[in-house]
Order: sequence, then C-alpha cells, then structure tokens
Amino acid sequence: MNLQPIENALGEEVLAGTHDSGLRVVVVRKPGFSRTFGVFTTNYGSIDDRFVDPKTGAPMHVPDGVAHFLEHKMFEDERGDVSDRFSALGAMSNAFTSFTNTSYLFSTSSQELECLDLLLDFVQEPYFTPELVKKEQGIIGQEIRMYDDDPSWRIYFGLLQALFSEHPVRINIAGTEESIARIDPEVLFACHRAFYRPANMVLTLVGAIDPEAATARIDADLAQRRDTWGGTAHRRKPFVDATIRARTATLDMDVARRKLLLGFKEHELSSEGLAVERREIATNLVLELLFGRSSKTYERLYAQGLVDESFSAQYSGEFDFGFAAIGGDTDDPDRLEQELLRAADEFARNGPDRADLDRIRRMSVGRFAGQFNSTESVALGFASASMRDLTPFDSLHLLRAITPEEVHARGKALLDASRCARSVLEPRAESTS
Amino acid sequence: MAEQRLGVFCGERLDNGIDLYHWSTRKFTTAALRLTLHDVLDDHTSARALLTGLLKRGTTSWPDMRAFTRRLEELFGASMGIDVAKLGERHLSTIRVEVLADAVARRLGLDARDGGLLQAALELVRETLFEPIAKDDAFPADAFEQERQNLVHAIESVLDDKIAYAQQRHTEAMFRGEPYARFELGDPARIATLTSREVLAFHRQRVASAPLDVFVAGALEPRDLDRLRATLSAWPRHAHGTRPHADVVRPASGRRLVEEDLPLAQSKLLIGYRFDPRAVPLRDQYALGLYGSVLGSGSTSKLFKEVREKRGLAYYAHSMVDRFKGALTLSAGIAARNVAQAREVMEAQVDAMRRGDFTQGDIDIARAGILNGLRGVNDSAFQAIEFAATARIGGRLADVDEAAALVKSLTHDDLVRAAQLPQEDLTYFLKGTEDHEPAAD
Repeated sequence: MNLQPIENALGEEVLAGTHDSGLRVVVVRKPGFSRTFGVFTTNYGSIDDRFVDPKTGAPMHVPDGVAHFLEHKMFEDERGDVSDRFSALGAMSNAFTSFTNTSYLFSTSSQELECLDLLLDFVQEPYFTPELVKKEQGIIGQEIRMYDDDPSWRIYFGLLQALFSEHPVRINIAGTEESIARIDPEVLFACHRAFYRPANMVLTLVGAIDPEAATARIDADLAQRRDTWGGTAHRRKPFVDATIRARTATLDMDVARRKLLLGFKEHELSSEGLAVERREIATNLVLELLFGRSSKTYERLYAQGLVDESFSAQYSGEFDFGFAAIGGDTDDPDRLEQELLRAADEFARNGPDRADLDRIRRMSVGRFAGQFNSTESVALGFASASMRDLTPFDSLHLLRAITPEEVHARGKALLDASRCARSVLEPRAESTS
Repeated sequence: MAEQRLGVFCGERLDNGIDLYHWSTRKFTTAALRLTLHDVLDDHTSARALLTGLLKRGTTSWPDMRAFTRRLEELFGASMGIDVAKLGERHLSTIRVEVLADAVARRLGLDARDGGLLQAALELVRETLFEPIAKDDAFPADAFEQERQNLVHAIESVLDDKIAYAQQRHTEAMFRGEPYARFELGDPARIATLTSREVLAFHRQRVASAPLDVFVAGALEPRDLDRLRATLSAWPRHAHGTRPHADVVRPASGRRLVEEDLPLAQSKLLIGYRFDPRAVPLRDQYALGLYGSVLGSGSTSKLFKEVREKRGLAYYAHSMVDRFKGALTLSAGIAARNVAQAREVMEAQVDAMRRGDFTQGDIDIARAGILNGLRGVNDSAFQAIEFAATARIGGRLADVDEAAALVKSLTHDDLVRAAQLPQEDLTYFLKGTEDHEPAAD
C-alpha cells in the first residue's frame, strides 16, 4: 500500500491512502513525541440495528445495545484478555461505541509496531462463546446501572426519546438489561461479519511511528484476510424521522438541582460527507454566537442566575439524523426555555453580527490548531473525518469559507420552534429509603 | 539566583518571590502557562474557592465576564481556567492558560499581535490577579452574590456524580477533624458568612505574599524569556518564606463502617487504609506507586481481575494511593446485595499483597504501564508541568528518565515492604435501593 502526503497549512506530516482491501489508513508522524496513538474504527454504531447478514443474506434486526456489547466482547479471545497483552507491551488500550462508530485504540511509548499488529489482529478476529457472553451480560448490566444513575446521560436520552419517534438514535447506546439478555454468539458473529470489514473501517496512527514500517505490518495482516476484502455493509437506508414524539420529557432523580435540555431536530439530511461537515461547522458557529460564553444571551442568563458554568450548547449531526442540545442546571426550566427560544428567534430574524462572527472564527481556527498537540485528538479527528471521506483540514477550510449569510440560514433552518422538544430533570422528593 | 533543573524545566527565583520554571520546546502548537498559589486546607478554603469564580468576573481593562471572554477569543481562542485542588492537605489555587504559538498563528496567516500572544495572555493573568474588578475595596455586590450562589450549587451538585459523592463522603468520615476532611470547594455554612470586602482583602494580601509558582512551556527564545522575567518581576509582590504544609498523621482505627442509603441503581463501596507518609523514603514512595498499580490500577490489576472479571461483582473496581496524605482507597460500583462478598474479596487482595502473593508477571505488567505513562509525560505541556510541579512538592524525581530508572529497579521485596504500610481504617457503603425506573418516554 502506498501512502500519499496531504499538504496542509499547519505543516503537519500527514500521509494517507487506501489499501486494496478497502481499508483507509492515515499516519501522522509527530517529531519529538514519544507516544503513539492508534485507533481502528468501524463505521458501525448503535443506530445500525437492521442490516443484511452477508453470509446468509438474511435480514437482521438485532437487540438494542449489540454494537456496544460486541465492542466489550472483542477484548476476550481463546487466549484470554486482550488488554492484558497490550499491558504486557507497556501500552494502554481502550474502546468506545457511539451512535455511528465503534473505535478500538491503544496508546504506547514503546513497541508501537507490536501494538499495531495486536490491534489489527484482535479487532478482526471474533471469538464468542455462550459462557463469555453470559458473563459479559452481568458486567454490562452493572455499566447500564451506572449510566442509570448519571443525570447528564439520563436527561440526554430523555431528550432524544422526545425528539425522535422511530430513528434508533433514540435508543440508549448500551441498550437495557432486558435487551442485552437476548444477545447470543450468533448475533455477535453476524454483526462482526457485516461491519468489521476493512472496506468499512479506518486505521489512524499518530505520533512516534515509522509510516513505512507501519504500512508493511498492515499489508502483512490484511494479506491473510482476503475473504473479508471489499464489499459494503447493507444497512437500513437513511430515513428522515420527521415526527417529534413528545414536546416534553420529564424524569426525577436524586440530584441537587433541576436541569433543562432543550433540543432542536434537524430536517435537512444529506448523503454527502462534505455537506454534513459543512452543516456541522456552520451549526457550531451559530451555537457559539448565540449561546457561547461571549454571547449576550449567556451574559444575560448568567446575570439572572438562570444558568451557571454547567450550561452548554452542542450539536450532533450525521447522515440521517442531527440535533442541537442546549441547557444545564437551572432553578427555572420554564423561564430558561423561553429565554433560549427568544434568543433563537432573534437570531433567525437578525442574523449574526459580523464582528462577532469574525472573532468566533478566529477563536475556532486557533482551537483547531491547538488540537494538534494531542496525538489522541489528532487520531480521533482523522478517524471521524474519514467517515465522511474528509480530513480535518477540510474542516479548517470550511471554517474559513462559510459566509455570514450561510450562518444566518443555518440558524434559521435548525432553530425552528416547531421541531423542538425539552427534557427536564427534577430532584426527587426526599429520599424514599 | 542560579538556575535549577526540574526535569525538562529550568527554574529560578525572582526577587518578588515568584518561582519561575520554563521549558523551551517546539513540539507544540500552543504555549502553556500555569500559575499556582500554595496554601493549606484551613478556614480560608471557602474564600479561596469563591475567588475562582470572582476572578473570572472581569478586570479593570475588561470590566465584565463578556468583555474578558471576548478578549480571550480575539487571542485566537486562548483559554484560561481557574480552579482549586487538594494535594494531600495542601490547597492549591491554579490558573491555566493555553495560547496559540506565534509561529503557528503566522503559518495560518493570522496576524499575531506585536509582542506576541503569550505576553498578551500573561497581561490578562496579571490583571486577573492584581486588578480584579472592584469598587470601594469590595467585589461588585451582584457578582459576589452570584458567585457565592454558584459555588454553593457546585458543592451541592457533587450529589449528581455518585462516584464523586461517595468519595467525598468517605473522606469526610474517615478524616473527620483533620484538614484533609475539608472539601476543596469549601463549606456552604462558611461561604454564607463571607463578605465581599473581606474576600477581596484576603485576596490582595494573598497574591502579594503567598508562594507562587509560574510554569511556562512553549517555543521560548532567549528574548521571550527576558521579557517573561521582566514582566513577572514587575508584579507587586514581596518574597515569601517557606511553603505551608500541614501534616496531620493519625493511626488507623480498625475496621470502622459507615453506611448511607440513597435511591440508586448502583451501590458504591469504598474501603480506606492509612499510612504515615513521613515515614516513606524515596524508593518506597515509588514502590508504593507500583504496589498501587498491581493492586488496583487498570484492567490487569488484582482488584479488577478478582472483583469484576472473575466474579462479575462490579463494573469498576480500583484503588488510589494518596502519597501526600498517606491514604489508600479501594472503590467499586456494585449491586447492594453483593456488598459482603465484594468487601471480603477486596480486603483479601490487600492481604494477598501483604503476604507477597503476587507474581513477577503482575509486577512486570504494572511496571510497563507506569513506564509507558512516564515516557509520554513530556508529550503534553500541561502533563509535563503537573509532573514537575508535583515532583517538586513531594520531593520526588522530576526527571522522567530518572524516575523510570528507579521504577525499573524495584523488586518483589520492595513491593512487599510497601504493602505492609497501609492499615485498614474506614469503609463507606453507599447503599442503592436498586429500584429500576422505566426510561422516560
């Protein structure tokens, strides 16, 4: 496999290429760094619950939480625990599952090529037995319970369950204790066959690693797996989930203060990676202008005691879903909601202040460059950009190219009160115990 | 004063008592700056915590939060954070600033200002410390009330994070009556009694005289260093004496148990041990670190293997050693019905360590993890700063290679010796009533 340099304004040494198997590879060499960060990502997450099994041709509808369960189970094979093998190499390993991706990673300051071999091997070699699946059900059951006690997690999924009626983004990434009880080795093998194929994956290596030696290892590994080359995963077609399920979701928990999360649902969808990225960057500019720490709204709400430092405004957008979630701790969710809607409405009418936009753009460019200090954020940045067939430098270009008119239009399109829902968390009345 | 090495940093004391440490490196796209005022946990803990909010409210030139934030944004998204933290019984107030390197700004075609971004950021820090927004020797009344309220909310919100909440309750119970029992954000009852005038006077006196460290890492030319020295030397301070430290050491009192009920899905179990940190020579400090890794750090540790992997009793199970205070804490998230078994298994791991019941393989794996961490320290400017600063406070090795060499030389016998130190003291059980609610729909 040949890697080609990617020219960029920061002068970073970036090489990228696609292996014959379809695997995309990015290597960023960081002179002076001791550590190497490797991440192997598959385009498969919690929303991919319906697909066609490539072996049998059968349509599958798998239990909620299976992508996350699979991620856990990959760390065990007939030789035992994979993370022990990374530890023996002096490396740290980990993994995480999002709505759309599952990523496996290592961080090491020695034997990076051995770590690379291990990463390639364990992620592509499934090993599931009924006994191991059963044990994992207990462990993930405890993990789900821990999330059940996490107010931010609960209010977030409360919002998604209100905003979306059908799209699987509304389902908890880890599933439920009931849903994971239905997982068996056959389901896990089918998911692995469908989505853990090189053509559906990206490998990113950043830090003290020799690109030539790394590509030789990748070539050698993939040469043994020709049966998995090429092909694409047949998953459910993207669809627009247009209906708001509920205007309000309320739950009570053992928390100190009330919390509000106000959500706006995207209705502009796109199958183009560049368009999705552009939408995300424009939206982030809107949210920063409107609700960021230097915004009039934040200043006013902070002075009124309606928000504090827990306040945030975040956007999550992919090919077939997108939403903004805005809020934090507050004593008065109703008033805070009205204030946020009023600010959104004002923005829709007046558009951005040019000087403010220039400043926010400056800030964003500076922060972009700052991320290149961390091998981890560089690796994860390239991995997620690759899922859109982009590099982070495309984002930098967009950040500078997006016009005030576009920012205005984006704000108008997204912050529509008719596609909004709220999630409220109330402190539970005195402890019931 | 002559320069002193502190790992990758060069250190010198300025005439006004500031200890300046600098590391010139082109590895990073930003410059990192960290300033720390050194105090101990005492009756002023609440005032220091309140100041982290008050100092963000603006300065003479940037008279409100919004103006100040805009200034940071103009400096290409410079970031500034202010916090207080506990390190053993010390209470450290820290400002961290990260600002784009001038060379990187130029490369991106951004107009780096005359004098450079680091100097501009340092000027903001100077104003924050020495010219906070004030009127008639008091912080503005509305800002003061607001920040007081926010601080109390922040303290109460610890309840929202059940792991942090359980840790705090365990610490309060086990170290009752010692400075270490204090929460770093202070105490709502004390916060209620503070006045704006009193807090400002306290702040002015403190920034003028408390021990202050300044760490800088970035692409520093000799000319930049001269400017840095000149700028910092002009800060209105007078030299201070010794650094404060409280060393309250009490013996462990056996197997005390404190229990609390909350309506949670997952229960938390914490088991606390004590040792005398004054009685731990340098080699044994590192042995304790390695011991802590074998016992309860990461997925290869004894606690993780025995409690989670073998018995499926917990989602997390780990241990933490505080070498400043002399404390070892085991913690796990468990189902309430498993508490007796979990406690027994966790205590058994500490006993096994004491008997030397662990293998060379256990040591090698834990050691590899520590060495990996050490070698990567200088890949992050702030991590490098934390490492050097903490080493200095604790009298430990600030040079990564020296620390690595010591860790490499540790033997099974060293760990067994370290394992004799912790004595069991107090267990805290936060019992969840395990009620499962249906998800909101």
